[in-house]
Amino acid sequence: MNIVVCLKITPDPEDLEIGPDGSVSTTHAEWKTGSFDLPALEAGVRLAEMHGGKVIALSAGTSQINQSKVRKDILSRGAEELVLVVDDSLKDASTAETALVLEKAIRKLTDVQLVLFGEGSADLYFQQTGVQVGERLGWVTLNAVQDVRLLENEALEVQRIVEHELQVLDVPLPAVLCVTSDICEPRLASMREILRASKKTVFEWSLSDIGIEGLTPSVEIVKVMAPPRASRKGEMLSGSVEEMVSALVNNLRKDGVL
Amino acid sequence: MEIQRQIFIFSEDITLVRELIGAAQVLAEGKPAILSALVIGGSTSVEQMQNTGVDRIYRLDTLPPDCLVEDIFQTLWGLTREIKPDYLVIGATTAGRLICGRLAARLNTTALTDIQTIEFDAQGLLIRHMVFGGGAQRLERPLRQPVVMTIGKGQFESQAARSEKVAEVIPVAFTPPETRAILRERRELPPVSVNLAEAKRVVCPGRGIARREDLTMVEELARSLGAEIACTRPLSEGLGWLPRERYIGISGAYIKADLYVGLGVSGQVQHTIGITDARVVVAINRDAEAPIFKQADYGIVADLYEVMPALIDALRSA
Repeated sequence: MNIVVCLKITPDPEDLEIGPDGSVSTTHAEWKTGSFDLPALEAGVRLAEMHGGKVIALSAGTSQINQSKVRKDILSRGAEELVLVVDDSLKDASTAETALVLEKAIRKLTDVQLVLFGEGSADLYFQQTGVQVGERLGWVTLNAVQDVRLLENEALEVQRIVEHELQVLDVPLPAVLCVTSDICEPRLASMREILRASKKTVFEWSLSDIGIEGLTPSVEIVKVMAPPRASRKGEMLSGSVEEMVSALVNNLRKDGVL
Repeated sequence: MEIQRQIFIFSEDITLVRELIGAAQVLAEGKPAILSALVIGGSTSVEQMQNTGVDRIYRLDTLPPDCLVEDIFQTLWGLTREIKPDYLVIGATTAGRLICGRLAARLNTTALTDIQTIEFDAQGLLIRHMVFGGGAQRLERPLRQPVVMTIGKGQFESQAARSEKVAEVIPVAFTPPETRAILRERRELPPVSVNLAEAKRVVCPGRGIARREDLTMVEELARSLGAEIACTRPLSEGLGWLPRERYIGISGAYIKADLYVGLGVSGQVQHTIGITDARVVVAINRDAEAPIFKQADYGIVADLYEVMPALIDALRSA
């Protein structure tokens, strides 16, 4: 059985630059795999290590996702193959377009029984693409999964946290699961795995390779701006620690918050 | 005559329904629209939806015991085909996000999640929501019809106006899905130890706290302030020092406290988005360049381990 883990490679949100006019830029941001996606990759690799089969990592985006550092990072974390669907029309793709592309790519892969997603992408965090892919494939689809075990009868036992309830479910295969960041701690790649990563296969597919003749956008992005910030006093206290602390306590008392 | 807009709302969480109705009323743009809702439950659920402006209440008594709320999808899908809504408005719960995605995929249409504002310009609907972990907001226009959207708590409730209208109640039968997960067991999780959204005062340790055992000093400070303890995401998810429900920021808690005290918090936007609504923000950090100072009312640049005991003393002697 092959396990596909879908990953989104995005500009690192921590590198976001906000201009004085409230404009937002990712021009200088480093591109990397989303931090919510790495636990999904780890969960897939652990299942494959325990039960056999291989993990195929899958991502879609513009040519900016096809960077050797990113490829190596994914492959050194235990994925055996990496499939990148690259097309510049995927710039600013919304969930509907991305889900279509991932669905077609998964259909082209053979013997896939399980597809894993993280809880949301690092840049958008809409938490939609995974569940949309599941519906497009027509497979059983669940989000908020925090534990997955493979049962002997080719089904899964899944634990799910839904608001204030823990659910234990039997899930028939094939299935699409969106896992939480709590599912497991992503590994740090060993030197051996890092060396092995460069020998692993990376497939670069175009949209026409997966039978898509052009994408129609589902959303127009009209404007991106920094969120409004509360106006703050910005008063830096000075003096010795005791003086600063006593000034702070006085101010807080004056503000009526103590 | 102009065709009336059809708006269809669903949430299994009855406390979200007024938010959805508020959003639906904005979506109607003051023009006559037909507002339908699917409700799970008995007469009390129906009563709560009367006189809210809803025209039709589709009522499903109860779900089979080994089914998930999400298994209502087939029933919802059947009603969607019948009603042909222009807008499907879903409560942004875990189940709601799953249902939203499945509806959008099956309709091959636009999904818009966690909407903060709804407006209209000459070309139609525009919505605003957060991207980049709260670091930015995006104004988006859906390009496909119908539009499926999710709405969370605290966004549109104030827009829901009372109405004299009495809704027609239509019982519906449960349509089971073809294949599904079987619910074997459900356990109530222990009640969350803290509701940060309701806390009056909050102290929040960040990466400036060197060791886990130093949290006892943070606890002492919290006690002398009468504050709840929150944290930044790395302390909870990375280090596991504090439970998940205590981290502030994107995908975590949003506080409305009178006082927030950041202890060695650097002030990444992913965190500070959660303290926007705090009344007074205090930042204590050794690094004068830490971005948190730009968003603080009072800043102290000093060693946390000197400030904390001094502050505890000052509060005690006060």
